[in-house]
Amino acid sequence: MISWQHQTVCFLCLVLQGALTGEPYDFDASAFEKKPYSLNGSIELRPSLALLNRESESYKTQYGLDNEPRFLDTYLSRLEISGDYRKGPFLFFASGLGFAQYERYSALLDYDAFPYEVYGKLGFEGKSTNVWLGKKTFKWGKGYAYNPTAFAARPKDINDVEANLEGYWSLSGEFIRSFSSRISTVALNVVIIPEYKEWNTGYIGQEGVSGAAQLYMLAFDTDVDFCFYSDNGQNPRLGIGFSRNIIPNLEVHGEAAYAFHHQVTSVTEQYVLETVVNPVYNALLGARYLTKWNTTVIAEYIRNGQGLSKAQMDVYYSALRNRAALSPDIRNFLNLNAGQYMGQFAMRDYVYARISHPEPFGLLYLTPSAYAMANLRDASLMTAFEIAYTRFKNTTLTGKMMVLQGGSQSEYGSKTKKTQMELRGRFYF
Amino acid sequence: MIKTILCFGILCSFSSVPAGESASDKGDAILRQVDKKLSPGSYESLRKLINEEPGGKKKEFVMWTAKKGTDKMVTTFLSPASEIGRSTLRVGENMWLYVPNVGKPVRITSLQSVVGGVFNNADIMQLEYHVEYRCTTLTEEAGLSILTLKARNKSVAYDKLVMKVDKKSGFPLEVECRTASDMLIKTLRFLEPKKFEDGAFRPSVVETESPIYKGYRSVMIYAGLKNRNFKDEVFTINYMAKIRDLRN
Repeated sequence: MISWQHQTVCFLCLVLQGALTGEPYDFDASAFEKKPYSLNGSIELRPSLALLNRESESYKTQYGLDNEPRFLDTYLSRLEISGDYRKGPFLFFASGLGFAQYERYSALLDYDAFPYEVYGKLGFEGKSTNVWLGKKTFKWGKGYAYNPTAFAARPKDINDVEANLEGYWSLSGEFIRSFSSRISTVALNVVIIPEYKEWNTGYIGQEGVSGAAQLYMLAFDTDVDFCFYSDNGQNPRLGIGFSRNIIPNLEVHGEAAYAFHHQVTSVTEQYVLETVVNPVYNALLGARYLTKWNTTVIAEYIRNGQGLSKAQMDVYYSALRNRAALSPDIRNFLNLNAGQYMGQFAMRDYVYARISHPEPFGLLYLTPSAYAMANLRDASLMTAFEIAYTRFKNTTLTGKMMVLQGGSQSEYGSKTKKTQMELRGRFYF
Repeated sequence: MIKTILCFGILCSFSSVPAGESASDKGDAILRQVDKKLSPGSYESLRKLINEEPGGKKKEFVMWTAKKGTDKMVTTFLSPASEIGRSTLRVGENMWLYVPNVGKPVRITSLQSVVGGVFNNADIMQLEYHVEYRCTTLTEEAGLSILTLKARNKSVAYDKLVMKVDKKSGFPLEVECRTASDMLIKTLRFLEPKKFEDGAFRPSVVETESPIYKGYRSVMIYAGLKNRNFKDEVFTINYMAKIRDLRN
């Protein structure tokens, strides 16, 4: 009798649920059989409009004293493609970027194409070992905006931290072991990166060979990295990083790197060049918090020991104002090393914060977010607001507005742009 | 005699086992059986995830999943193109997300959703119920065992579950996910039982609705679920970029 009851109830439940759900669900798994190759990519269109900071020295340097232009509109298109081919233990992978950007004021069309990565991988699955040869990206580190221990990578763009990065031509290997203990994973990555003529230009700073290694462990539910770098220029660096959820919705992370001999050349108050070699440390301490309202907050303190001091930056701004009085050597140095003074993380102490909230008010696929980078030494600030919409299949639409604030002799107050708005439409295939 | 059995059956079918050691032990045993019924210890499978909007529009994702034991699972998206290679790893209470562009895994929590919609990471990366929950109350009525489950620790996405298990098949029919204050977050329904590649018969569809997202519905459809053993090294953050290589 109970069996009859059960069968009846079960049948009624399934019938009722079937009636509620309507048609049966369909999933043709055969359409997703593994293929030996894959090809994917995206096309992005990104128009932008910038309000220029005509008071800044960098504006005057770039556009002269005519106070024109006030606005700059640019039109960027990007094509990213990646593909791979697998046969047994061998994998060939290639990815790259092609872009064209038109700036209306100067009627300048800039375009280029280059590979992010091109490598062959040989995997020894039984031994959990892999070897790569070719151009490859190594993104080490736990920080969101900055990675002091990313010894084998190019720096991130702080305004697009999730963008692909171009790799280096290298030979690398990885060995992974797992254990049934509180140290449950140990993985060793070793990378050899040479610099020779056009290959990996600027990585070491001179022709030669460098070696970097990362030892990763998952120990006591904590990700721990130990990193090492050295090259034939004898500029060893050591690094350590960690990441851990101290409570389920709060993750803390940190990184620190120590360079034994960091060389920097800058302009002194007397407008002469000075080169000093010092040990420096770079560090980051951050947290990622998910509130009960599903808002994610990321906050990081960044110590960039390789950056310039406030006094060195003041000399730079002064030199720009007195450009006519500078010797040709100094003018040439400032032109060639503009990135050192005007690039990201030019100085030493920063705070980065990001807040995002997916699907506010029950609006699925809509994610507003905002981030800010504050230079603690000169009290300048860069703030950006973004809104992303992912409702349409294989399409991401993003609107972004960025505002730079600070005095004329500050990092973000001295940039050419004051405000920038951009739209991004990215279509994946 | 028939009347006696009938009366006994009716009484049994609406009886409630009071909360206590024996009831919770029995409930825990039922929960273990539910886990065994739902999936083998180590397996691979394909899943299609459909997010449906009130107007009928749908957004679909397909992911490949590997699971080992009671504490290891990894998934990687095969479709749509915008999500290919996006992978999620779970080892015990630790959870990471790998996005190909970002190029390195970042720690995430079970309450977040990697794809939007009503399912969150905890639903997609669900390991085994008995590992995360213990039974506090067992009620029996009309061919169903109704288990009230409490999270074993605070890292679990939902503080409380109310699971209706069909006594005959051993399958869950419905799971209500609730907060500690008993607020309903979502309801999961297990539908369309079918025979899988490993020979076992189990629900092939999990459907969910939430009072928080009125009118929206998310559905997970299982296919190609079969026994497969993996090395432990597969379930490491170093392997996340290479997960697609594991597919046969």
